[in-house]
Amino acid sequence: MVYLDSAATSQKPQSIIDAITNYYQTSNANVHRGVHKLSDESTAIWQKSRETIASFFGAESLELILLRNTTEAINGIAYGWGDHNLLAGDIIVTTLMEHHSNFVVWQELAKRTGAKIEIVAVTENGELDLESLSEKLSLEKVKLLALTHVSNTLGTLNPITKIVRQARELNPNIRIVLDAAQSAPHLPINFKNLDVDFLAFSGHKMLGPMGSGGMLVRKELLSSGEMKPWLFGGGMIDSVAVEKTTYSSDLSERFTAGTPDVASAVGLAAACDYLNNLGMENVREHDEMLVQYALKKLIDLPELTVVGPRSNRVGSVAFLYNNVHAHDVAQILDSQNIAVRSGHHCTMPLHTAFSWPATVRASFNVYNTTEDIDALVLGLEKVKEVFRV
Amino acid sequence: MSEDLYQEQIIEAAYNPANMGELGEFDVATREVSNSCGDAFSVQIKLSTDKTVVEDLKWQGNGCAIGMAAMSLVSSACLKKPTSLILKWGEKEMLESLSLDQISPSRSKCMMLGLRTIQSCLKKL
Repeated sequence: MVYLDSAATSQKPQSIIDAITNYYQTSNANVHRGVHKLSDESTAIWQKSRETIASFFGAESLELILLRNTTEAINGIAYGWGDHNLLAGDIIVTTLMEHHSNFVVWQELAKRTGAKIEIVAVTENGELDLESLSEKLSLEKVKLLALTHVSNTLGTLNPITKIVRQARELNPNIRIVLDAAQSAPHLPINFKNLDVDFLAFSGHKMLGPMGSGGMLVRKELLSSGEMKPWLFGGGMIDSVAVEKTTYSSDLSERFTAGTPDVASAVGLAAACDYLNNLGMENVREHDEMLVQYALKKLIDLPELTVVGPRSNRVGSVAFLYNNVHAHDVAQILDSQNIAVRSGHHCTMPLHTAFSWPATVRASFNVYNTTEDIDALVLGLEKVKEVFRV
Repeated sequence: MSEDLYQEQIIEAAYNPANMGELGEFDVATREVSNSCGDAFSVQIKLSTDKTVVEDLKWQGNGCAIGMAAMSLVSSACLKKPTSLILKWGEKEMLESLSLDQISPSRSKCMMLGLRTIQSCLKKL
């Protein structure tokens, strides 16, 4: 099996699976709920896992809100921040290359608040149009910039440092959401240095278990109350009376309503340890090598059109196959045990803008090798045979 | 089973689809999009005077080989058939028309898009 669909979800190394199993076998109990030993042990594991994950991202533990995935995190930003801070006529700036999770959420928030959405264009070669970005950021009443670090379709790595600096110069009160779903698995990330207000990530794309993900929120936004809880109930309260409820002043508890998924946090922390042991600089280099190798090999095939830029890319390479639909290409590859993604990859506005019906995407992680890409190139020969193109 | 999908008749129907085009006059029309890949078909249907039989049908759109072949075959199958019968067709009938024993859930969406478009068009009546 050649697995080239890690941008959808990664495979899980044995140490991550073992960490989850071990938690259930030896330490399972609800957290913060009991005085018994096992509950204490589980609580300590939960807190330590949170610290490991936050530290992996260069953040403080209290800045971490664990959820199921990037989509849930971005929804949380819309409900916990957007609903309380946007007024009719305010502007949300996002981009044409966003995943639906960083797009549809803002459309819904705009409906609820009366805010407007402005879309930053993408250039012909698949990079963010920085002139269009400046134009949008210079509009009055811009309150939020939501953009992706790495495009899940184009592979484009956006120049985040430059963009954040410009956004803050033009508008010191702007809030910035970074979708790090496709960057966190491959690049060293430092939340503090990136200087964004919110960073959403999917643990399951970075070797962690399914159902693990979350966000980092700049602590000033949490302590000032600008970001409010949006899930209510047990575990996040200070005191509850018939007349009124107050919420926990402990920021690490305030945003975790209900029993948390401790095992997934344990698994994700083990994934962070695994990546740290490899060294994120090495992980980045490995990815860059694979992406460049794939680009070189695939661009050489006359029947393909590779999408996205030729440099500054991360994680994946997507392409169109002349006169054969992406699903058919993926199916023929599957018949040779090569797993790729086909479709619009949850970026319909981007596909529509470029008039691509659907694309085939090969994406990588730390376990992939150049042999996997060679297998893909060989597998594509079969498409020619079946479709006689 | 992956490769077996691409039998001669499927490739033939996909690359030389029947009933593609537009009708000069029609009674009802619609467009459907597949949420999994963005493929879309539009269809125009002309009915008998009593509105119970499909007299003519033309369609347009782009899709994968399975989607195109299925639409080509089902569009031919609909001609001169009662609308009540067409509305009863489902995955079983589509598999039969493509001479397939089975299909994966993801490719079933491709296979069903054509019939779904025709049925949603007829439901507008």
